[in-house]
Amino acid sequence: MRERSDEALMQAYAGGDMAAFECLYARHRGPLYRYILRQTGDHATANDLYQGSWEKIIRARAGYVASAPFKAWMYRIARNHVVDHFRRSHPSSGQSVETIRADDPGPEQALIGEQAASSLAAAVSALPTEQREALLLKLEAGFDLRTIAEITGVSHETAKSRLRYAVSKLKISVGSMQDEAES
Amino acid sequence: MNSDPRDKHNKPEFDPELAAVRSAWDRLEQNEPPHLLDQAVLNTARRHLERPRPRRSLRWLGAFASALVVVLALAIVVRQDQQGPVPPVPGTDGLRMDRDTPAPAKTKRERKLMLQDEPREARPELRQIAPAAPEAASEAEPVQRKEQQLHSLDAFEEDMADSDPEAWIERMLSLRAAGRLEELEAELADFRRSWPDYPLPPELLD
Repeated sequence: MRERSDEALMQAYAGGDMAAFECLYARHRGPLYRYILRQTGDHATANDLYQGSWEKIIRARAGYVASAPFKAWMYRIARNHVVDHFRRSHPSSGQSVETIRADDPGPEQALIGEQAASSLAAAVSALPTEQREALLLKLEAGFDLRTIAEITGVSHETAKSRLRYAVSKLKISVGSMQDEAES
Repeated sequence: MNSDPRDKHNKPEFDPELAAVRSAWDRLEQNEPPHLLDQAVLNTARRHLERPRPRRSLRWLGAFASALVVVLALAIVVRQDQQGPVPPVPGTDGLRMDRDTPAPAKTKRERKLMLQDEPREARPELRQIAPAAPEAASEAEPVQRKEQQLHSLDAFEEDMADSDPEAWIERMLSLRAAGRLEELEAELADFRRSWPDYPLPPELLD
């Protein structure tokens, strides 16, 4: 039997079909959770943001237009929810989320003393927010550059350069993982 | 939505590096949301389906009704202000006049009943319309008038009898009792023509 599309499932849920939502949820729960978890770095915050994101998706069901891809729509809601959280958690700094995260230590410094197995995750969390965001949308959700640009609200070129920087910074930790695997 | 190999513009130029990162990424722990969190989300989704959505049309209707009431109330107040107080009619006491004068009859039937209650002497307009009776009437006039009244009564009874067979039979019985047999025969013949199948009492069949 042919699998129903995300868009059809979301429409069915908006029409009162709970089974459609369960199917949709099972499809996206893992990647969406990891996308949020890798952004926040701790499980408690990730749990809150994950539940809040789904609540927003559920509330917005009536306004969902089937012509828009569901997955991009869902990640846009989750992404905005995460950004709002970071803005709320740094209300007095006057800095953007991106600036705050960009001040964090770089991946090279973060790697010092880390086990190679977790060095990649640590390197990702040390990335500036906008680069980490682009990378997670690529690796966890599997979006192309155009969709990443749409979700994050930037131009195609900006999204591309963010992803390029993120990948080049992660090369070191990836190399160390490979070295560890060989030795 | 995902990378389309035909779309060169979408394809990152750093694919080999990205592939290496992806390969390492896939070896990371695949974290999943806790079971309780899954349940919470699903319960939220279920609860939202069970909860009836607010009906916008009714909310709009309520607001519109409230606004309408306010506008009408304001219009009434403004209109009353423009009209000002009602000036008293000179030489009358409005309240007493209202009390003493009977309320005007609203329906034709009420007006008719009121006219019947009034004595005829108290209705000068009728006296004007009616022809003046001659003051000096002869002595024979009351007898003549009585006969006319009897004739008109008979005519009325005949009319009634035409439409009601029972009344007709009553009339014929009274003719029989009065011994007016010729008239009775004529009436019987008329009756038979008008009501051929109507049963007659045995007194009339003799």
